[in-house]
Amino acid sequence: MSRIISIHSFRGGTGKSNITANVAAQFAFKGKRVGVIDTDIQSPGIHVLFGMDEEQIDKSLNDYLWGRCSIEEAAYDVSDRIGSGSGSIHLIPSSIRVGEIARVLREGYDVGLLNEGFRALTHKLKLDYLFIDTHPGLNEETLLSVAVSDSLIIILRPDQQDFQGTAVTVDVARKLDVPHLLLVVNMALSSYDFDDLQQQIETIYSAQVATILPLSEDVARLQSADIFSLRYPDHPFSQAIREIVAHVEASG
Amino acid sequence: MYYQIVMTDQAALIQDLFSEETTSLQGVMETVRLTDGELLFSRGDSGDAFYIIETGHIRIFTLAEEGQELTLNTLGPGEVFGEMALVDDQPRSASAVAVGFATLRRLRREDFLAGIRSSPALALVIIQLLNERARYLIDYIERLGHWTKLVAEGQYDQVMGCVQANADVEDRVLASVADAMRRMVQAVQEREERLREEVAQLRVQVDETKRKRQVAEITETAYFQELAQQARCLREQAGK
Ligand SMILES: Nc1ncnc2c1ncn2[C@@H]1O[C@H](COP(=O)(O)OP(=O)(O)OP(=O)(O)O)[C@@H](O)[C@H]1O
Ligand SMILES: [Mg+2]
Repeated sequence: MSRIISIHSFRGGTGKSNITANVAAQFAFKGKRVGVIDTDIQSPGIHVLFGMDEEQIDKSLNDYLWGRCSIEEAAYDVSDRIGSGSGSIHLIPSSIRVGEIARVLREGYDVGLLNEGFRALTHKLKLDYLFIDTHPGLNEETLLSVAVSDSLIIILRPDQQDFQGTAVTVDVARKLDVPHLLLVVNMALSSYDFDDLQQQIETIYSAQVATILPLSEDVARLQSADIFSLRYPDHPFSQAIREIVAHVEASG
Repeated sequence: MYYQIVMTDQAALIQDLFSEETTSLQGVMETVRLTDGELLFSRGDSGDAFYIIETGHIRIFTLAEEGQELTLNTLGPGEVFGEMALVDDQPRSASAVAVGFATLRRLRREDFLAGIRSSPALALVIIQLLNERARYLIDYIERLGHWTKLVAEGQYDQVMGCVQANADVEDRVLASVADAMRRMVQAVQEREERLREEVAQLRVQVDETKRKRQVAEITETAYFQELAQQARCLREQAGK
């Protein structure tokens, strides 16, 4: 059975794309067939982590939503990123062309098509996991992604604004009956008491914290140019990524 | 390996030189007697003599920026000071005052300069004295450099250990530098600790009223309710 996993955060820049790419890559590394779809149509970005640029993106999620192609035609096999002999990763990028982004903002699109696209993808590509990198905030397509997900991973930073927004996101997700909800704290200063932070967050949101990822200069230095946990498997950030993987595995 | 100045040796040597009846130096050194609190010289006076303490104590002090007296050193019997004035006539860099009754032996620059012509031994002993002073200071500066590096690396315990070992060196100027270092490290450490506590006491807070209102704003829309309905159907289908 394939599983759909949304990665979301109330505010932008929390590390969604980096964490999604790393978790997806770890699953592929373990031999799974993994899809990664960038539904952040307004500000796409996860393709960068898989080493793709504008020239390499021909068909995108946008083409599918405008009815110009099937969803699997917009899927790119980026498995060479994780080395041979293991699973596979299929990336469905959003268009980074200014005109395409403007059109989405202007006209909107049939959000229902997204759900059909998710189903078609998992089916046609025989995916074990489909990871959805979402747009921050709680707009319609994000709510849809959450509604159709088996698991929702909410990323938050140790920041008062993130705390409030995450509370709202958690409540909304519960109202959508998401079967499995995980919190991931990112960019925690090393001087924090991680256990205390985890306890406070779990109490306030009544939800499980999968891990607390440290704020890392090493991660920032890579500038999303590569999948960090594949390049530096022994780094604390990479260890924390594998904790997320273990939680996702345990939940289904 | 640290050099420790043993001025007492030089003091005895010089005393001997000046009391040997065979040399022309005899009687050149004069005795100075000071009562408690009597000022020997002030900072800024032209320096023209070198002193050996025979009895009592001399406090060397300067004025801090705020105007209070800052004691640099307190010297006792057998210790010497003012040797730099034998070579040049720069103004005194600090003041000297007697602590209790004190007896000193004074050697004026002109007598010293005249004396070294007939007694090369006198020149040598003074050169040795100046040289040792220079060596000691260079060594101390090296140590300061090392401590500063340790502070920069955050190795505070090590700095404190080194500083402690230097707190009771004979030269109190240097002891006071060590003390200033110790206080600096303590201040830095305390500041860091306070910052760490502030950070560690991160409170996760959520405004519950606002939370309810914000959730309602989303879940009460027609879109959301339809979506929730659809999601339920989809899950039921998938469950079958
Ligand atoms: N733990 C971390 N330590 C240091 N830097 C991090 C960490 N996690 C992510 N970053 C950096 O933060 C930036 C934002 O990350 P990312 O693009 O993954 O966030 P996002 O949530 O997808 O942002 P957006 O909302 O714009 O899509 C990137 O430059 C990334 O390298
Ligand atoms: Mg992103």
